[in-house]
Amino acid sequence: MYQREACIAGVGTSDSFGFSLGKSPLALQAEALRAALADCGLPKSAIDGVATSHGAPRGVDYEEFVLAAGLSIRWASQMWSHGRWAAATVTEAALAVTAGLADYVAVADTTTTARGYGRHLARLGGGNAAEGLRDVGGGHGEWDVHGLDTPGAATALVAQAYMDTYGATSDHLADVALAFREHANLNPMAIMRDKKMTRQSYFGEPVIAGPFRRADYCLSNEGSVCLIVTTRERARDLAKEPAVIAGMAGIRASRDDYVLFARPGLGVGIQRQRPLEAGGEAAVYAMAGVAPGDLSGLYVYDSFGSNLWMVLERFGFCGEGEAPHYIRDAGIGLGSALPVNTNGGLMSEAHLSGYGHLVEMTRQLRGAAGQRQIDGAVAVQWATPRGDSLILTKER
Amino acid sequence: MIGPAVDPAVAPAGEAPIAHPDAAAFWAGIADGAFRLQRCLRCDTVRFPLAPVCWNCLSPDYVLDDVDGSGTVAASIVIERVTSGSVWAAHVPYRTGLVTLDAGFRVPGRILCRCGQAVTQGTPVRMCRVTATGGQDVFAFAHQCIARS
Repeated sequence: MYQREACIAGVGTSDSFGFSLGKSPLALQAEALRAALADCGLPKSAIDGVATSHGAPRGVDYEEFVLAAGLSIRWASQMWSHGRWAAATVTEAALAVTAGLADYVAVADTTTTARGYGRHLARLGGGNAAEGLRDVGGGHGEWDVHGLDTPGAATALVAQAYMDTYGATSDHLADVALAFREHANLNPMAIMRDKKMTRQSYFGEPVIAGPFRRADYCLSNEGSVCLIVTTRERARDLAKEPAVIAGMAGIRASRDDYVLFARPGLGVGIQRQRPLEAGGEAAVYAMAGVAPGDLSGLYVYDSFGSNLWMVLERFGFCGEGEAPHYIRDAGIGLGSALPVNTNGGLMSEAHLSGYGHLVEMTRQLRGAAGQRQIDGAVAVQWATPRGDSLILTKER
Repeated sequence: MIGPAVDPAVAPAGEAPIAHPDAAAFWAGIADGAFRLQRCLRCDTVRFPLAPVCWNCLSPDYVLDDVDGSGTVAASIVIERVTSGSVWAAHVPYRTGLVTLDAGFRVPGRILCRCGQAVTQGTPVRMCRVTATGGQDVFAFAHQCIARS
């Protein structure tokens, strides 16, 4: 039984995030590693584990990274394909240090784009390389033959179905983008830090697919993050206050669970349309010893604006169909009871597959989030429409 | 059966499927004017999307059964901009979505409609064929305003 022994002891990022940084994935990941080691005062030689989501070619293969950075490790984990593995990768690292498979794991992940450094790299397969039966309705939702050519187009169907079912409007969708942009405007690392958004400018954004304007999409950018995961006991000897990995929940997957970014029950893709089951995600709070009402901040995989609706309902912050009203009534900005994505998220900080959110969560618990600081932050949650989650708490 | 291919002036050619061996018989059925899904020979489960095994009992043995192409719109959107660099970029704006077949399956498909009624959930549509780039037929859905024209 996991007893909250693991923590994030150090955080670091590439020197900047941007659409085309002119640096290879390996160069960016080296910057992030350097920053994370400096953050917690750990020597490079102490790293004996590496975990990464993407691997090459979108990111960096673990072995290439180890050789280039001169590491010597005894444990590695590498996911591949899709940007959804942030919680799972950190969970693996937490379990590895808890079980003694490694002492200090560098969780490192890098994103490259086709229009950035990716133009120098070989393309590995097409959209169908990952799921060969997508053309006839596979899970990721890029149904090319039907003109749904990107995850955004498929998620636009999710948002449209939600809006048709519950009466939500484009104005409600704007609430999400506006709040995250305001946060990004306070974040010196955010790609959109200098781009103000008003409700009027939101509605002036070009429509891409269904209800989605450009502002409802995540950014497509380059950047890297490194988190140092170790035990709380070891972290006591390091420079910064760690963020305790208190609760963990894995990705749910089933024929009913999701198609792309729909929560269960919505009735998109092959999932059944049925009432949302209340309390379905209680386990992560029990593991963390944290009640939803104790949370200081919520961090959501916001590849698209409607994802927040799915998370708020799936994790029980509000009832089925109530998320747009919850956002309007309770607020999601700094100063509200539960600020969401104070870094600006994938939509306005950078698409770092969630690792950027985890850096922000750690900084919030340390009281080091600058103008974005949530007063007295003690517990923060990462959550996605697929049900995976991490709850980080302040070290006592 | 699903009808003959819709006039390319109404439905210009989009991306062709990758008809690799696991999926080839399905696409051959579409070319023949039939929407055929796999029915498990062990437990009779009819499945969508295609898969080499039955999701209920894991049997690899199946036959292809004709499924009626009548259904109603479950969700429908217009694609205004294509960001992937695919052939769809030349066809914007176009409508696509999800249709719940009367037979009980919810399937994706382009939605052809001139009058605008097929925007809303619950509007009846019928499966049709459209020809993709390279000449391969794929399934789509047409509102009755297309059938009349």
